[in-house]
Parts: sequence; structure tokens; C-alpha cells
Amino acid sequence: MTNSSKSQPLLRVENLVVSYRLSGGLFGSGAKMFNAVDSVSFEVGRGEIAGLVGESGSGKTTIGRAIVRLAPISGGKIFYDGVEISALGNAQFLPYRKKIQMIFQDPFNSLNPRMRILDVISEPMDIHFKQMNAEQKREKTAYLLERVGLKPDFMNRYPHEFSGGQRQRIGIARALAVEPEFLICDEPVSALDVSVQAQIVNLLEDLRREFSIAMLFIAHDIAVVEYLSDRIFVMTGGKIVESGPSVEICTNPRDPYTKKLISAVPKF
Amino acid sequence: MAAENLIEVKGLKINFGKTEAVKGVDFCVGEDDSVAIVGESGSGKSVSAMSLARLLPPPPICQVSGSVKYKGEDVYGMSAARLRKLRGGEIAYIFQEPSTSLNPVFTVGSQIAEAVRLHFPEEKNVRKRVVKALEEVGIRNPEQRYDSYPHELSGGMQQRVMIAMALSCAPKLLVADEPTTALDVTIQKQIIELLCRVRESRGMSILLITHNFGIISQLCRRVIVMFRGEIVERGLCSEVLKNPQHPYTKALMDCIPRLNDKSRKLRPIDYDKLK
Repeated sequence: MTNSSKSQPLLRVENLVVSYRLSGGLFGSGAKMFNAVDSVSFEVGRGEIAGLVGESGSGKTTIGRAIVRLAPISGGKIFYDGVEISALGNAQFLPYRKKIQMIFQDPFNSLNPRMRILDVISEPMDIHFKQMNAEQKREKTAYLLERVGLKPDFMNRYPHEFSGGQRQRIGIARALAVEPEFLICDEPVSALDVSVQAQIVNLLEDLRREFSIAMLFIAHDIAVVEYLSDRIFVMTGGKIVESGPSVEICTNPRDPYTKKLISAVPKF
Repeated sequence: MAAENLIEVKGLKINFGKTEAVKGVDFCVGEDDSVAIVGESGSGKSVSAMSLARLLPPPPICQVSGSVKYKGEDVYGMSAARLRKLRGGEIAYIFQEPSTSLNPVFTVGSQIAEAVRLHFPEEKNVRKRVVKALEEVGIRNPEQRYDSYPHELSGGMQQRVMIAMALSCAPKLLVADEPTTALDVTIQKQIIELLCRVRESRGMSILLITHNFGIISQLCRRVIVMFRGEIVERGLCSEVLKNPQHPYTKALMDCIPRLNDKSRKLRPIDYDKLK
């Protein structure tokens, strides 16, 4: 544990802006800008699961990507454990790439088809655990596969040999390989069958309990978000329109957009 | 009860090599009927639906046995010319991923027009008919959208285009294979409402294929639950949803998170217990 105080949030985002140039202005002058994320602020505590819910185009994925520098930040600050990580150079940011890991939506495109599962999972260790030898990496990969509910001998196979749910488990094992404190889960269950979705949701819940990993859980289905999250942020049009404890948001929504999202959940 | 069945399937078996995808199922779809087939990936629901218009690959890749009848006519005994009329003209399909179902290098209007020309060669004003179809599925400015390319439309709009294409040839049966799985929940609601509306206004039948129990009750009257190539339960939606009989049906319903019910633990399906 670092020397920072326990009371401060693990992640704090202040007035984050991510904008893209739409058209015109060849040299940047007079170009129309589009704010995909428009001055968003929020916090995620240690060991907390925060849900970020909204439709396609609401900017929720962009926030997750901006935190790990997969999207350019145009304004605002991001603090991790009290350090302003948005102001760091790329080399200084490297340790945070270990602390913050990402799980992607599409389990088919997020694994390199030409790499064995052993290589997929141990590649992050090559970077962040340079002292480990091949045998240790193999052992750790076996442990991780077992931890996410797969057989250790799957490590010698290739991604195409697995189903969508199994691939998502492999993606989670890869994220866990560097012992992160914070997981950004970008629609990890949207592409999966309902029964597989339930398995993955339960797996994430177990991991939180076991390793006390904090998570930013991004999804468009508010029912799944409510189930897993302690707090929910509702996003539309690049802004957070409502936030609060998940039970409160879902039983007593105030914003009209939240109400719309809740009414879209199929009831039976 | 509907007077005549549009589709009658008896003893349908579908094999891919040694893999038995469907192990002998019977079901029917009547006129002005709405049926949902619910099951997971690999339950055989999609291939069963595709077999209705002989969309599966020919032997030896895929062997289909049993009988599939459209209005009493054996689909597997049809000539190539008759099949072309059946596909699109009488049984139309929409699929899960609208972006891969549309051709990226043609405008959406021209793609719908192609279907119209094939099924209505005598139609004089094809463009007008296509614009009308786009309008029916709730696309604003259909006149302009005719000339849009698929990438200019959102996923929900692309799915509306697919529905317009399917409806443009006035089919008797619309097979919707996971039509909302790739879409946001709010868009999903709109598409289900759209399908309800066109079904009622046209008196068309719908066969909905899905893995999500949540979306069937609004659109469908009857439900068929498939598991590992077999039908494990069937009945009226209202009854099956309220009082599922088969353990698999119960298990499938237990793994869907519901709002304001956080205390209920999600239970993934325990396959060992089922067999």
C-alpha cells in the first residue's frame, strides 16, 4: 500500500473534457469541435464498484479510455491515489498502466488470434514483472486461468478454440496478470448470452471480494449495472446527469433520462 | 386458433458432420401468430429458424432431415425458382448484426430496391415503394436516407433499414434472429415496439429467436424453449414466464438481472444438474 491516506478516493476525475475535431480548419483554426466527454467529474473509492451507464455515444467508453490514455484528454485532470496522472509523461505513467487494467467489450477482437493463451496472459508480465522467469510466468498463468474458471492446460491453445464467455475470462485473466488495483470494464458482458453474462458478473464480484479491486463498470444495461455496482453515474450527451447509490438511483430516479433508461429494461 | 398453419415443422433434425445441432423438433407457426424460440448459443434455435427457408449450407456440410412445410408445401422439395420466391417474398429474415447484413458499398435505398425488383418485377416506381418502406419503420427524412450509405447510420437505424428491407416484399412470416442483441436497451425497446406495430398493422406472423426472456412477452404470444437441440418447454408466454415448468427454463430466467432486486443472487446455469 502506498503512503497516501486511506480516506482519499482511489480515482478522482475533475472536469474531464475529451473533444474531437469534426471538420474544417485545416491547421486547427476555426475547426468545429465535438465534446465526447463534456466536463465530467466523479470519484471511485478503494474496493468500490462504480457503474457508468448510458447509451452508445454518451461518452462512457471514452471516459474509460481517457483514464488509460487510449483517448486524448483536452481538458480537466485525472488523479489516481492523489497523483495527477493526467500530467505525467509517458514514462512516468508506466507504473499506472500496471495499476489500472482494462477489460474490453468484444472478446473476439481483444485477443490476438496468433498468440497462444500463455503468451496472451504472460505478455503483460514481460513488461511489469521483468524479474520473473519463464517457469514462474507459466505457473502464474496456470493460477490465473484456474482463478477465472478455466483449465490451466488451456494455456497452450489459441483464441479461436474458445467460446465468447471463455475468451472474456481470458481477457480478465490477462488484466489480473499484473495485479491491478483498478479495473476498467468496458461493456464486458454486452456481447454474451444471458447465462454466460451471469457467470462473468459473478466472477467480477468474486474478484472484487478476493482482491479488493476497485472497478469502473461501463454498460448500457442499467439492470446489470445496478446488480454489480455500489454507486451509479448516469451519462448522456457527454455529461453525467445523475449519480448516487445504485439502489437509490434505480428505485427513485430523478433525471428524465435515467427514468427513460429504467423504463427500457424489459420486465417479465 | 389460427385456421391454417403457415409453417409446420415435424421431426426436424440438423446435423453438421457428426454434431447433432437439432435432434428432432416439432413446431408450427400459424397465420397472424407470434412465436419466440428462446435458448442459448448452441441450442439449435438459429439453425432451426434458418432451415425454414433452406438457408443452411447444402450437404455434406449440413444434413437436414424431417419435414418443413410452408402452407402445406414441402420446402425441401421446392424448385430453385420457387425457393427464390419463398425467400424474402413469403419468409423474410432479419439478423443480429445489421452492420454486417448490409453491403457497405451500396446505398441503403438501392439495397432495398434490389429486393423489391426481384419480387415485384412489374413495379413501376420502385423508389417510391422503398421510401414508403423506410417511412413505415420510422426513419425520418426517408427521401434523403434512401441515398445514405450504411456507415452513415447508427446501429438502430441500420436495423430499421433491415426491417424495411424485409417488409418491402410483404412477407407472410418475419423471422427475427436476435434482432436487438447488438443494440442498446433504449434502442432495443424502440425496435421491439416497431416490430409489434408492423405485425399488428400487417397481420404478419413473427418468429423471434432470442436468448433473452426479457424481450419476448411484449412481442410474442407463444414461446418455445430450446436446450441442446431439443424443445424442453412450450406454451403461452404469459404462462411460461409466470410459471416455468422445466428446470432449464427456470435456470435461464434466474440468470437475468432485474431492476430493484439486488438481493436476488444471479445464478448461472448449472448444466450438470440439468442432465
